[in-house]
Amino acid sequence: MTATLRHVIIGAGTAALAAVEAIRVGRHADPITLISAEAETPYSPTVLPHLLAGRIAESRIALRPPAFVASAATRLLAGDPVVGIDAGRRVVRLAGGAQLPWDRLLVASGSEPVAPALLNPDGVPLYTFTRLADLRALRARLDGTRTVAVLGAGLIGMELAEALVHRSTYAEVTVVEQEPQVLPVAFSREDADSVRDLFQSRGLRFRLGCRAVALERRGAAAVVTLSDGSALEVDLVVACIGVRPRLGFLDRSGIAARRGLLVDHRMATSVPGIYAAGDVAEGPSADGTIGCHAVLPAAAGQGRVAGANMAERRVEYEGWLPANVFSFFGRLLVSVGVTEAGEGHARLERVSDGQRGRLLLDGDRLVGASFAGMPADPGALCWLIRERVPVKRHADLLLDRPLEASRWLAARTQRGAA
Amino acid sequence: MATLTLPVLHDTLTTEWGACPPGCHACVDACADHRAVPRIATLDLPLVSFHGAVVCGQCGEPACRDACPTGAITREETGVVRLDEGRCVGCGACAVACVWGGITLDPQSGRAAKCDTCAGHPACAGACPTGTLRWVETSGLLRHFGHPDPFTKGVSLCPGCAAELGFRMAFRVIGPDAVVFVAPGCACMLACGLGTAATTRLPSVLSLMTNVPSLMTGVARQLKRSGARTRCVAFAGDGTTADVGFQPLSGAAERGEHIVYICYDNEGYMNTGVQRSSTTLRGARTMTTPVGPGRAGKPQAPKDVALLMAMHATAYVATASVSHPEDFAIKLQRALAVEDGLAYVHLYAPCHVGWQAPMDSALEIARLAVETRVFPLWEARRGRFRLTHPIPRPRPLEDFAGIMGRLRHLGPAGLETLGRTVEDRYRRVEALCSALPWEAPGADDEQ
Repeated sequence: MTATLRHVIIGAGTAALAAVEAIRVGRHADPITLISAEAETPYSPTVLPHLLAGRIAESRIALRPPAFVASAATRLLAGDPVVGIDAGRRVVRLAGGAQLPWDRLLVASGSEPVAPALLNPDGVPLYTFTRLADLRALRARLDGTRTVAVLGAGLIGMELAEALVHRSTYAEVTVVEQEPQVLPVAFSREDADSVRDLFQSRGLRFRLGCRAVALERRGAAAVVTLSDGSALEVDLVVACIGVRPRLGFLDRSGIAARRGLLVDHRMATSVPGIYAAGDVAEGPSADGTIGCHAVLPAAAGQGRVAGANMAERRVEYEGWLPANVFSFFGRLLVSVGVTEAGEGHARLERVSDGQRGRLLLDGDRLVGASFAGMPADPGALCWLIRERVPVKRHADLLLDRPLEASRWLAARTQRGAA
Repeated sequence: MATLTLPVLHDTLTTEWGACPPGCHACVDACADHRAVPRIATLDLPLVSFHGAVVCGQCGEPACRDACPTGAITREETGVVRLDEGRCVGCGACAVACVWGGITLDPQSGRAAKCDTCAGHPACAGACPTGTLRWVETSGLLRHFGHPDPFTKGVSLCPGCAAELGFRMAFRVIGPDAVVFVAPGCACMLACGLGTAATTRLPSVLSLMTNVPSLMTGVARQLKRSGARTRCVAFAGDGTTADVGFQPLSGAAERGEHIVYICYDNEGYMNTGVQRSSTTLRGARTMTTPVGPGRAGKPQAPKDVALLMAMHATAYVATASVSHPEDFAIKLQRALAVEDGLAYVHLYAPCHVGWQAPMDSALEIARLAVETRVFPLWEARRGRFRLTHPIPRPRPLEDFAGIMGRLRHLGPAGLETLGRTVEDRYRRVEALCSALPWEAPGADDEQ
């Protein structure tokens, strides 16, 4: 093993902490410094809607016990954002003026909200919902707020909407989405429509297939003009139209980037010694394409791989796979792999009693699966897709009893059987 | 100098895969009695004639923990991966991350649940009517390996060598009060090093291949005469043991010399470039049993040296495998406890280089050899036998043959021939176990 390596990690979220765990597998004494732009205990933005809904207290969301990032060899610099890195001199520059030298650098800076393109001549406050600070700002405004417009019906927008209804039944929430369905990309049209129907039955309103084009102030309220010419008058507007990798501070760093920082299977960027993981990384998927995939299991997996390679163990990432679980009003929705049938894909479906199961097959193997209102194991389904397990012969069984059948098929290959 | 520290092992729930009685949910019911949401699941699929159970395996580096957004999942020092349900928000990330079926998503509560082993007293295992689901206490395994690692830095054998691992395990059990005898072969580089560098902390004697037990006889008798308790232990390969040096071994066993002889069996002369030995498996390809027109690997059945040794009514004879360390350790302790004769341990130690298999596969090959009945694990005291690891339902031989190049040429006919040889060997031991069963040992030599 080589001499001590100084590890600097930009970020303190899921990918960053998984990397710390992986570095510590073999290297107990290497100094690790995590830098968080926010002055918070490490947390995941996934918890924000649950905090808003009151399902969990802010004191119980720390990703690790305090000692994890405050030990002899590990420290967290919170609230001092990185303003730039110098890849030649191998230092990170912080807003406070400090410069941190590194031997291995991990960029795990996560994502930031995309600002909607709309006219806002009056400067109507447009809230976002990706950080604890956003939550606090939003919560401070919610008392006395009767009507809310949520721009965007992705996972963040829908969970926010659900939380707002859960929190106060009298809030009137309208979700605006430019696609014709809620939860685009993550779930199929049919599954998404069933979610919309259930949300509507709980009093939520939807404006699908149109987007906000302008905001104006009208007294204490805001008027949202939609692309179909109609208008909504609301007390509060929250924009959740999507996120993008947070990499503005890396301008002139020389790291190759497209949408995110480009990484190989070892999570290495184009600059030796610099790695990227989580929402900020644009890397290989399970089927070989390159892209960004901002979900928790991908961040954790990429962080583990990055950390192992920073610690000089050669480990390769298996590639991300779209996988979404959405649990709401006592109903479970699971979707893994592709959500719509592509060319040459066979589509098998079973619908009964509010349950819907669907398999998308490419020849013998599974490329996508979704189950609504019935028990399913997303991890086992991921395994079947990733490992190209032939499942066609057992498609009926998978649709009848997805939980047991997927676990059985996965375990057979995990145990080395054909 | 710091010695290698062994990892901590933890107790675990284990199921015999697919061996549940149809329709049985005793484990799930027992779990549900204790915990509202059951954390173990049965896979009861009569349509495909499968009946099994899955439960969290308490991973060492749990993917579920890494994916959890509230820090609700932690891995404790006991090895238990615990989910604090009060912190769960039901996002399902853990269930996506776990491919082993260890997470239960409960739509009613909107939360996840997982097994926490009921603090080491799992209700499910107690309720299993067939013993398919068991609570295995592995945490005590390492107590057998209490002595320091026998090697200094710089072991020169191939990476992934099973013989090296076997040597380490053996002397962590035997301890430093021993003289190790080796003969030309891979292990002589373990004991004596390469060039001037010794790689073991033990006094070692490099013998000829022809006379290891004879040399040991002299040293052991002299040590006994001087009143020393120092043990003479051979660590020799199958070429030395089964072929070149079998006669003096047979003689020492018959005379009842007070020595411990460990044969590490890698089924050939690996150190000199992979030539066949008399223990090479039937059908295996070596440099001297090639595959080509009219030739399909070794035509003969392997010599069963351990059985031959047992036929001397030897004080103690056992087979062991690097894949079953606790079994190996217990057998070594029995061998060391012998006061009145020779103890022989035949250790299965696959050579991934000579067997043409991946560098990290030796332990897996060894495990499969046991599970397919290729290498039965048994022991015999004075010619009375017992299987220490019976295999009632062997895995298909293809599983074993498929992971190494030396058997890959075998077609159905070759596999059938090998299968007959394997079955005969296993049944021979089984027959001896029922005809001449193991007798309860005296109190003097049991741990």
